[in-house]
This record gives sequence, structure tokens and C-alpha cells, in this order.
Amino acid sequence: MTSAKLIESPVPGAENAPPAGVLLDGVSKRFDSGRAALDVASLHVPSGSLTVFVGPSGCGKTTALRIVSGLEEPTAGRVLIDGTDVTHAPPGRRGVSMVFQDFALYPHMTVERNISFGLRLAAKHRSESGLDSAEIERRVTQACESLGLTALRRRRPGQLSGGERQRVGLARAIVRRPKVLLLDEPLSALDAQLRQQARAELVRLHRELGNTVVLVTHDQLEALSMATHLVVLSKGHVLQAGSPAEVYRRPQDEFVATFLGSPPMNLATVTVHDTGDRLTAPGLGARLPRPLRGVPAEVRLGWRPGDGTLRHTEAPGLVADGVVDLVEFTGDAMIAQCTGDSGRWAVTVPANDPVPAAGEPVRVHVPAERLHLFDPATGMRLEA
Amino acid sequence: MTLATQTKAGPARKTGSALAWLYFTPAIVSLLIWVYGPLLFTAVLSFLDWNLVSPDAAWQGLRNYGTLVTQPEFGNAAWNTVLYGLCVLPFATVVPCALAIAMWKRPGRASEIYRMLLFLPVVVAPVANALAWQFILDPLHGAVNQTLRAVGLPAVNWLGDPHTALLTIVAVTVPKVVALNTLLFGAALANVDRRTVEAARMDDAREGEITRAVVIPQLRRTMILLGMLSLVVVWPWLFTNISVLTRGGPSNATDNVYFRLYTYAFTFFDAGTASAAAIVIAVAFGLLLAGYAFLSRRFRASR
Repeated sequence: MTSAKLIESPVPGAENAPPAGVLLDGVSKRFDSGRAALDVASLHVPSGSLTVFVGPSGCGKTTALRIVSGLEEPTAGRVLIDGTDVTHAPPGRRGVSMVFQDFALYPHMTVERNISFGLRLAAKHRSESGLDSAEIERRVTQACESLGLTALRRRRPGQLSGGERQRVGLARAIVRRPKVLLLDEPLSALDAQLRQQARAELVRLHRELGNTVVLVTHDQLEALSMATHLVVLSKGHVLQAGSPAEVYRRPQDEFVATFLGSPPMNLATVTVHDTGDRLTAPGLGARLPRPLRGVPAEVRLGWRPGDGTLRHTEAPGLVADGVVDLVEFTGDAMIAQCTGDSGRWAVTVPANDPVPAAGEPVRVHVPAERLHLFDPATGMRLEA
Repeated sequence: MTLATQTKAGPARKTGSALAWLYFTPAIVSLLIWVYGPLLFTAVLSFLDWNLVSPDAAWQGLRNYGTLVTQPEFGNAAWNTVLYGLCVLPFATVVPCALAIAMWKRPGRASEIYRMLLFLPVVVAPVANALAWQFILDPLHGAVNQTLRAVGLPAVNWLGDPHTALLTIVAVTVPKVVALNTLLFGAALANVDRRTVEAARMDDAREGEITRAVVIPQLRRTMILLGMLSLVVVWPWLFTNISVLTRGGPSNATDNVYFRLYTYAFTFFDAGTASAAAIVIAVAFGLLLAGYAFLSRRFRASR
């Protein structure tokens, strides 16, 4: 990576100086098999954010996290933490801590010794760290209190439940006061009920500590609900980064559009009429407030199931006809899975609205400002 | 048994337990014939004066046990047995543990090849191995002394000098112990979560600290078990080497209780004393194992 290229790379918050937070600059990672697990021009984690790396399995999100941690060295590129190049710094010397997916607690140590292990090592290695046994005890006590582990201090990991183990893993990570806290799929080892609780716990912890947190998950719902900054990865590349609302409302390409949101975004190939303000396909018709300019003759039209309504409206937008195949009850709403002449699509109906029965024809209206257009060849977003 | 718990009726319970005893019978009968029968027979023999062939044997009470105590040979053999045990112990625990950890830390092709080479001593035929050592350690023409002479060092009569003989027997036996236990430590390491090593790395532990504070403590129980197990299984291997290389000499320096027992029985044809020795050995090992069981239970309780 040349310095000229570095300056060119659009890094938020700075022109020349590297920004605060974590920056993967031109980082790529190839494993011995030759497969590129990660290849990013620039991946920025803003300082103080709760950044979530999300993507399907094999997208490189865990590799990215492990490169930040130092457990994996990049094949090329630099890792910067608060402007300092730590590419070749050992994992324990980067001001970074990590909570592992299966927590990786030391099975032979009690909870408090698990938590204090890193501090005891730091006291031993560096006398200037200012850590004596009283200070270590104070910090361990504080971490235990903050995570509700005080009663479990003398237990061993084998005697703890999954949720308790996770809290020990968190306590072990935060007790070292890292600049950056890394969480590798921290909720996947917990059962569904606990997951909701742990999610809130993590968000609270982030707010209390105020440090940078990077979380890796394959669960898009978890990503949207927890992140202050979202990074969507696929096949080793960053597809889009931004606030969850921004990424959800303005997905940069078809992959991001369908990966985020449940049920996923509906998509259909439509023909653009000469006037540019009418899009049609069998069973679908859309009227736009402004004509499209410079787009292919056919485009991909997307709309979220939740943006559709069964109520009739005269406002510009999409009108789609179909027949209900299946109605799914989710509690707050019903999801009607429908088949139209241009393929399958879904619409979310609020639970109190009249719900069509399976086999009935339905007509759904989507306001024009909630429509998404993508290039059929590249999958990239087209601006209306 | 489910029938019994369902009905809780007397006759049904009786049938259930009778059935259980029926299932136990083959195991109990086999144990009686092959394990406890010979033990009992040995115990009876230890009170007799018998030369293995004569039709009559005289009852002599505890005199055979008296022989073991009063004559110096058995005491010497017992002391040597302790020495053998102490010399073998590090090669049953520390050395294979270190080798296994070294290979575990650097997994890959080289590690696999090394693992295979290390296991080779286990499959070598014991007597052939001992004979090979006899040639290698020959005081005049052996490779070891030839080499020593070539570099200007004095030759040593490895197996003929009472000061070096026991250690030499240990040295030619331990490769097998190391080989087998390295394999077993490797199996124990397969259960150690490599993520704990990564966690320690995140905690800024140095390589040595990771080994000492994270890996070895997770192997502690394996270490105790293998140490104990090796002290039980190493004797036949030592026996072969003693039998081929020194026959207990020079001046009983390489003798141990097993070889002494063999000498009583098949050199002196004194079945009574040999049996008394066998009973003493069995009791001593029984006590040792009971001590181990006690310690390991306490260890488990403290976890």
C-alpha cells in the first residue's frame, strides 16, 4: 500500500491524519489454501462506537476481528488503533481485549482468577503499570459488581451456566480497561431468552465504559438492534458501512438489501417506460413522482414487506397484485406470503388490520419514497 | 429392575435381583478363575515349602515371609525397585508432557512426522531391543565405548559396573515409556481448548507463561494418572531388559522385586518364598493405588 493511495482513500473524519478508533487500511488476509478470507480497502471503526461486523458465514467478519486482535496477522496492509500502527504488535500489547465465542475461560481457575489473570501478568511484566494486589483486587471487585458476578467469584467455569460464563468472559475483557473491546459472536452460545437480556447488557456496558466495541455476528436482527455503526461484509469485502438506519433505509446493493431485514426485501425485475416515470412488470405497476434518467431499460425494483399496505391510496408508488399463499403470525403482525405474476413477495400486515385468508387475491400499495432501485447487471443501487 | 420399581412388590423385586445376579455371573466366574483364583493359590503357596515339582509340600506358616525379611536380597531388591520407580517417574510425566506440548503448539506436517518417530519404540520387539543394546553397550566393541574412545574419553563398563548398571537399564527402558506417554498426553491435549491459549495471548501472557499457567494445569490429572499407570506397567519392560542384559547383577545392583521373585521361583525352585514375595508386592501396590485413589478423590473434591 502506497502512501498516495492512503491519502486518496476516503476515510471519514480526516484527510491525512489517521482517524481515532480502529482502521484496517488496505488489509487482506490469505490462508495457506490461497483463499482470500478478507480484502478491504479501508474498514473504519469510529472511536467510541459499538460497531457490528455482520455478514453470512465465511464473509470475513471473524477474520477482520482476529486481525484487529492480533491473533491473526494480515497478509498485507496496516492495522491502526487510535492512529498507532499496531500491525505487528503482539495481541496483549494493543490495548485490545476479546470475548470469545465459546468464552474460552481458563477451566482450572476460579472466576476471580480468570478475571485477574491479565492484571496479574501485567503487574509481573511491568512494574510501572501501577498494579499491586490491592489495585487488582479493587478492579476485579468492580468488574464483578458491574456484571453481577460477586456471588460466583470462587466458582470454576465448569460450575457456571452459559450466561454466567459469558459475563465472566466480559469481566475478564473489561478489567484490563481496553481501548477496544472485541466480541466474537458473543450471543450465539446463549439460548434465545438469555440472548435478549445479554444484548441489553452489552449495550448498557458499552454506554458505561464509553470505549470502542467491535461485535461480530451473523444475525442481522442483532446487528441492527445493537449497532451504532454497522459494517456489512460479504466474500471478504465491505459492502456498506454506516448507521443501522442508514444502511437499512438506503442499502447500497441488492445483497445488503436482502441480507438485512426479516422477512427480506421483495425484488422484481421491471421495465422502465420511455417517459421514465412508469415501471411495469406482469402483476406490478409503479408510478414515480419524478422520471428516472440514465437508467437501463430494465431495473430491479425492491420494497420491504413492512412498507407495503393493503389500504387503497392514490399517491404515487407501487401497486402489486398477487394471491396469498400463506399467512404467518408473528405476534405483533401477520406476514402474508404472496405469489404474483412476476414472482413471490411478502407483505407485513399489522395484527389489528383485516388479514386476507390464504387463496384470496390481494393488492398492496407501497409509497414511492420507499421503493429501491438496483442495476440488474451490477446489483448496485440506482438513485431515483 | 424397572419392573421392580414399577410394582414395588416383593416377588417381582426378588425376580429382578435374581436376574441381575444371573447377568453378573459370567463376569464373576471369569474373575474368580483368572484373577482371584491364582491370587488365592499364590497366597496358599506362600505358606508352603514346595519346589514346583515334588508331590508333597510342607506347611511352614510364615517362615517364607521371614526369609524375605531376614535375607538381604529381597530388601535390596525392594530398595532398587524404589530407585527404578523414582528414575522412571520423570520420563513418565515431565518429559513426555513437554514433548507433547511442544508438538501441540506447532501443529503441522513436521509435528506429525515427529509424533510417528517418537511412537516407534513402543512397537519394537522387547527382547530384540534388549539384544541390540547389548551390542551397543558392549564394553570393548560397543558403539558407545568406541565413540567415547574416539573422542578421548575413558570407556565405561555400563552394564558391568554396579554404579552405572541400574541407570543404564533405566536409560534403555525409558524410551518406551516416553513414547507411549507422549501419545497419551497428546490425546489429553486434544481436549484442551486452543482458545484458552488465545485468550492468554490476549491477556499478554508470554509463551512460557501460557504453558505453565494455562496448558499444564489443564493436564494435571493426566499427569498424575500417567505417572501412576507407568509405575504399574513399566516393570515387565524393565524385566525384559534386566533378564537379557544383567540378570540382576552385577552384585544384585540391577535386581528388583519382580526379578527377585523370578529368581526365587525359577532359579532356586522355591515356590513358597516366590509366592510370599508376590503377595508382598501385590499388597504394596494395592496400598499405593489406594493412596492414589484417595489423593485423586481429594483433588476432585477441591475442584
